[in-house]
Amino acid sequence: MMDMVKSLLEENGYPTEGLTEETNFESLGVDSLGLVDLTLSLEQKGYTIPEEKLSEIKTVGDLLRVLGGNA
Amino acid sequence: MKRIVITGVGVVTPFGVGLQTFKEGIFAGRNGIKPITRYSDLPVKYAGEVGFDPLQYFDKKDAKRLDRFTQFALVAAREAIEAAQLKDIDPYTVGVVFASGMGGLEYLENQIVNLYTKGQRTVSPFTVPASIINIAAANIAIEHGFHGPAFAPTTACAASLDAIGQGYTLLQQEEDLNVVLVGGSEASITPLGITSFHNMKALSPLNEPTASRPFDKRHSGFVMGEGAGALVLESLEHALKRGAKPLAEVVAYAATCDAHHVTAPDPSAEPQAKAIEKALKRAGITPAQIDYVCAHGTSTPLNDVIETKAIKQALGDHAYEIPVSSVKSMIGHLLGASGAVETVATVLALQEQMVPPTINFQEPAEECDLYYVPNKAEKRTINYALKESLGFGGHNSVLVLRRYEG
Repeated sequence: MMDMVKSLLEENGYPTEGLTEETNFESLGVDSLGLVDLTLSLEQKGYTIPEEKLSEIKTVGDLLRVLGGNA
Repeated sequence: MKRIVITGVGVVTPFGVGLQTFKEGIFAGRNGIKPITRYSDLPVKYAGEVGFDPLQYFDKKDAKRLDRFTQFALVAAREAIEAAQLKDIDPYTVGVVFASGMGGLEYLENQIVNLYTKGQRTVSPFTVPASIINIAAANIAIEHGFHGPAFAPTTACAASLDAIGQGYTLLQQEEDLNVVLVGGSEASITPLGITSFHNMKALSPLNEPTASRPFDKRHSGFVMGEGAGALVLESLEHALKRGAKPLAEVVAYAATCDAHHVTAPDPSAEPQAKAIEKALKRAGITPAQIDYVCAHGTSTPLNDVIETKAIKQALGDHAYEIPVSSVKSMIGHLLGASGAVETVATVLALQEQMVPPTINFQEPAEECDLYYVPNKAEKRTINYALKESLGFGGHNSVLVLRRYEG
């Protein structure tokens, strides 16, 4: 799952060097619109991210946990 | 009245990125029209497309978020700002007036396709900030940290001449404003852009690279171009104080509206002529002092005939004594960017004392009886030049520029 998130970030031009679960999206240059954009891309890959969870996603780990709920 | 000068220019044109290639192109009378490569199956096969790799100028993230028209705008603005050596300046004294006719058409168009073919959840959250017309101005302000007023005139094909005029007016009105980055950008060579202009019969139906023939008997519509032009405007006093070298002076701006029809120019040509007359009056000069007219010259029969009529009405017999040429013959019609790019051509004409030609010219169209500088640039003494732009909606805008002799 981490690899998938990493490649999604790369596809969208964000830096991924040294990416960990603690990495904050803001520090990668992912602003609020950027995060919506990433989650819409994830939807196209078959994941569901409930709207109300969006505001809870601050770090890569937060996203992985929300995605984990899909498993 | 403050004296307002241009201290830096930058362009992205069908000749390529940067002022040098544009300068060489217009004075060599080169044809920048080529087959469209970014799309196929369009009703028109030729345009003034810019060879442009966004990743040469932007990182992947920004390249994805910025429409092509904003990318052109930012690249042209960087060149103008660098040329003007604009640095260490109070950011609240710098404004941005940057126009576009269509804005982020390509971005918007792609998202509409997504919406109707793949569903609501595929519409990019960047759609609004990528496509709104003011976003080129806003991105220039963001990139350079300019905190003065920033906005976008949207008067179709007159938009960027109005941007220069509005920047000039702001500098006259606002005591605490020293610099305004002005210009315009356009990137409408898209399926919707080309098809819309084609279906309204504005584009030449000829699929030939030499279809842009302003004032020529065989003119049959315009050829679409794309690109951007940016200019740094500031008061002469401010420019000299910071050691900047003025390239040319803006001495007047005037605009009128035909109030006649949404696309067709007023056949009397009176409102167009009035705009020229007002500009001359504001410049404090007579028609006889104009040495060159850088025309709107679209290559549509309606424009070419009525523009010629307006120039004659405003300048009288003097119109026959001076060169009148159209840069669109070489690069096509850059819509909302055309006024800015052609003003840069006019600045070059004043600096080099050389008139860019109207290429693809063989025989004048009926009622087009001025001297259009056929096919070859000409050395001339130019002290005052007139630049005019006309837009759908009946917008007539005119600038008077003066040679700067420091």
